[in-house]
Amino acid sequence: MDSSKPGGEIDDRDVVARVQGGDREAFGILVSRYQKMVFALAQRMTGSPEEARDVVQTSFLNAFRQIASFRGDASFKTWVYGIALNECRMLYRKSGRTVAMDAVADPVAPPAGGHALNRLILGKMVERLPDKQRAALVLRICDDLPFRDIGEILGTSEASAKVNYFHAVKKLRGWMRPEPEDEGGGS
Amino acid sequence: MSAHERCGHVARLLERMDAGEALECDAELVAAHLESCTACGVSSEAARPIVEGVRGLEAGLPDDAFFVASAEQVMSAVRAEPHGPRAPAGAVPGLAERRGRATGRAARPTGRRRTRAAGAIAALAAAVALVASVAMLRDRGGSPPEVASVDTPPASGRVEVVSVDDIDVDELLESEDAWIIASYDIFDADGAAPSRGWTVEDLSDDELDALEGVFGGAPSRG
Repeated sequence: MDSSKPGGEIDDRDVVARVQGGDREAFGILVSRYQKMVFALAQRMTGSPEEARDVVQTSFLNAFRQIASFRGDASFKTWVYGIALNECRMLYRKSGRTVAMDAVADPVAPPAGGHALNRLILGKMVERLPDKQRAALVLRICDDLPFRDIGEILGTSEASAKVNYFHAVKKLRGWMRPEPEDEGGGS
Repeated sequence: MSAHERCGHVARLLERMDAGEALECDAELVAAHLESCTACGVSSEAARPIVEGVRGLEAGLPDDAFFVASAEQVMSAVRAEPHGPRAPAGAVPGLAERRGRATGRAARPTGRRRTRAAGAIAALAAAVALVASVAMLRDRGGSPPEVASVDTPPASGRVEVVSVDDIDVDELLESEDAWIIASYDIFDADGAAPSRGWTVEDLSDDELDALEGVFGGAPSRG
C-alpha cells in the first residue's frame, strides 16, 4: 500500500490511528507529509496560489474533523485529495466561476500556428473544463495517479474516471486544433 | 456497428454527459473505446502533446518557510477545535457506504453547538426545488434523533414529505447546488420559524443517520 513509508517513517495508518485516539499533535505529521501535494493540486485546480493556500488550510482542518471516519480503505493521500478537490469546487461555486456548458462549447481561440502548445492558452482551456474533467486530467497527468484512485477521489467508478480524463483530453485536442482552411493547408 | 459509427455513438454519449446525464452504465463502453480508438484522438500517442502541455503548466511551489507557517496555522486551528475528531457514522447500514462514495465531500462543520433540538431535511425531486423538510428532535444526551412531527407544519408551512424511493440520497448528500441549499431550513423542535438556511453540510452525523430513518419510516415519533 502506498501509505507505508520507507526509511522507518511512521506509516500513515499508524499516524491516523494516533490522531483517532486523541493525539492531536500527531496530525502535524500528516500535514507536513502532504501539504505540498495538496497545495500543488489546489494551485492546478484554482490557478491561484492564494486560493491554494486557503484550500490547504480548510482541507486539513476538515480532514482532522472527519478523521474518525477514515478507515484506511484508500490511502490518506487519496482521501485528503478528495477533500481538497471538494474545497476547490466550493471555492469555484462561491466565486461564481463554475464552468457553464455553453462556455465550454465556445472555447478560446486556438494558438496561432496550431502546433506549439501555448502555455497560457492551454492553461485557460484547462480552466474551462468542467470540475471532474479538470480534476481527472491533473490527477492523471500531474500526480500520475491510477484511474482507480482518481475514481475514489472523485467519488466515481474507475471507468467514469477514465471517461472524464479522456473527455478532457478530447476537448483540449479539439480546442487546440486549428480550424481547417481551404487554402494553405496544414503540415 | 462500424468503427465510425462507434465513434459517433461515443461522441453522443459524451455530449449527454456534458449535459449532465448520468453515464455510469455506459462508462465502461466509452472508456474502452476512447482508450483504444485512434480516430478519437485520445489514445496515449495522440494525447502526448496535450499531456506534455499540461505537465508544462505546473507552477512552482512556495519556499519551505511558507509551508512551515502554513502547517503551524493548520495545527493552531486543530488545537483550537472544541471537539476532537468526530465519531464515525455507521449506525444506519448503507449510509456510511454512500458517504464513503462521496470521498471528495468536505467535512461538515462540527463546532456548531445546537443546544436546542433541531434538524430539517430536504430532499431532491425531479424539477422541484423544495421537496421535504422534516423537523426532528434530538435528545441533548446524544441519543439518536427522532422525528418530532411531520404532521404539524412549522410556521413556514414548507413541509412535504416524500417517499424515500423518490430521493437520490447520494445526490442529496453530494449536492451543493444553490437551489438545494436554499431549500434547507432548520426548525426548532417546538416548530418555530426557520432561523436560517442550512445545507446538508451543516447536518450532524446523527441527523444524516436520521435522514435514512426518516424517509425509510423507521424512527419512532416524538
